[in-house]
Amino acid sequence: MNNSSTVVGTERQVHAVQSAISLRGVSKFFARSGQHRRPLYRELLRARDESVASESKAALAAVDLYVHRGAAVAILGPNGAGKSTLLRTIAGIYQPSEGSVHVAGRVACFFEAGVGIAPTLALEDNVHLYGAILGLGREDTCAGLEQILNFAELQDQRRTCVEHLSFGTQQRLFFSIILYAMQRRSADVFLFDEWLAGADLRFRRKGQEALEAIRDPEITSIFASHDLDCLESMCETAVYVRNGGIRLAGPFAEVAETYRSDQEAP
Amino acid sequence: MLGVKNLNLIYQTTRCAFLAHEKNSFLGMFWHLLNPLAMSLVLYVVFSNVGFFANVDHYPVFILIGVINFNFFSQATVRAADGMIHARSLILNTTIPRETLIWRSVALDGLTYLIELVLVLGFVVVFADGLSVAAFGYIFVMLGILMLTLGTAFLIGASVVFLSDLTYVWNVTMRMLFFATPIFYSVTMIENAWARALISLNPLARLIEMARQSLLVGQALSPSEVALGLVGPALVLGVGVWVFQSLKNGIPDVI
Repeated sequence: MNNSSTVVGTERQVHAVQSAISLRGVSKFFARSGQHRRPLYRELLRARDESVASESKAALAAVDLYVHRGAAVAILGPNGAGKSTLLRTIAGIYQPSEGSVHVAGRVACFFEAGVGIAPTLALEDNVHLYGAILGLGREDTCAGLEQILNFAELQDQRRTCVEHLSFGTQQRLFFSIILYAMQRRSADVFLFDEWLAGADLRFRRKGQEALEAIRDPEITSIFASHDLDCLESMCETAVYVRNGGIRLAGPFAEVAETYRSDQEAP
Repeated sequence: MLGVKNLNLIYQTTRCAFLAHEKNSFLGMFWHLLNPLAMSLVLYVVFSNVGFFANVDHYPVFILIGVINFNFFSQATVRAADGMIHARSLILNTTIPRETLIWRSVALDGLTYLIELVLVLGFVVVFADGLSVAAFGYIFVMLGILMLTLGTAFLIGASVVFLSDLTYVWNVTMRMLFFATPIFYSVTMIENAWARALISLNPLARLIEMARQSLLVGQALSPSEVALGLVGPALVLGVGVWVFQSLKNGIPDVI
């Protein structure tokens, strides 16, 4: 396992200056299951000398990662490897237990499509709501409403309640909003985790092509998925995460090959 | 702690929560008026027959002023505590500032408070002696109740994530506070000096007394009364913000 230094793109020295994302020696520990939120009486009786390390599990272990501004990076890894924790640490949702994280600019996430929406309200209301969650201003969302609904192919359903749409159709809507947010540069770093998993093949292809077309030298994108074909068409580099550490990082083909070999190994 | 960029987020989340709440309700926003009215009516029917309270001028409006201020504080802080726990998915999957979740809860009940306030002002005009220039003093009451509620919401909202049964403790506290707050009585009616001093320590008590003075009695608030009324809420707001800032980075780890 390569834990010491992982460079995605060019030399580390260059990245120190140009990187949009830099993680240095980042570890993240979580309390073991069932021991984090405690009833009040247990908290009051808790022994003061309990150390965090003795009752915690490392989800990330000494991760070094540097990502160029404007890069599109794929995150590969088996279930439970630490991909989501890595993304959430980059997003600033989790604070590292050890090490430091630096991200240049704002971050927008597409981890769970439509999180925070009001399902009983109309599409139009939810476009404004989800747009605000992704950092879009009111004027921006108003200006892009038609474009968002057209891309999602829902232009004739703007008054329909979101709860009346199928899961896949909802995913189309929320994906269209984040696509618009990327076009409007509402953030500098966009993070995706298993996006469009519920959409049909045709829309997935359409979404993939839109993401490829939207490439902007000022926007850094990171995609975590198990769909290697999809990732290959969008990302020039990849990071292979295993057991909370970086197993390999570099050109997509090389990293994907190693990942495939590990997956096929008995 | 809250940039201008997040104002749209607070506006949208509050607006949608309000609309979603009203959508399937037959009476819609009229529920906001019925709730304090029904509560005030019950308190009036019960206590107006007790000799001690029979001589209070404009007793129904007197109670209503206490009820709407207490309800705002109580409902917004309970909502903030529940809101943080139920916002797990939002906290773990978006980068929205955690403060906006607290602002959303307070803003949502703030809307209800404003609707109820219109009702109170109407009652003052119709059933009491009408509004005087002193009524402008109510602006300080609104400022105080906002600071107090926001500060407490920050304090409870962050703490409840780490102490799972704090929601129950807070619900019980609110029931006890209902009687420890001058809603159907006035602080001056309390004969025991110790009890009066204790009730006066409650910042909500002072604000409700100020509200009655400016709206019902028509007596302007003096600068010292305003200062005394706002010092408690300002302290609570300071402590609440400090606690929230200290705890907020750990919230995603434990929620």
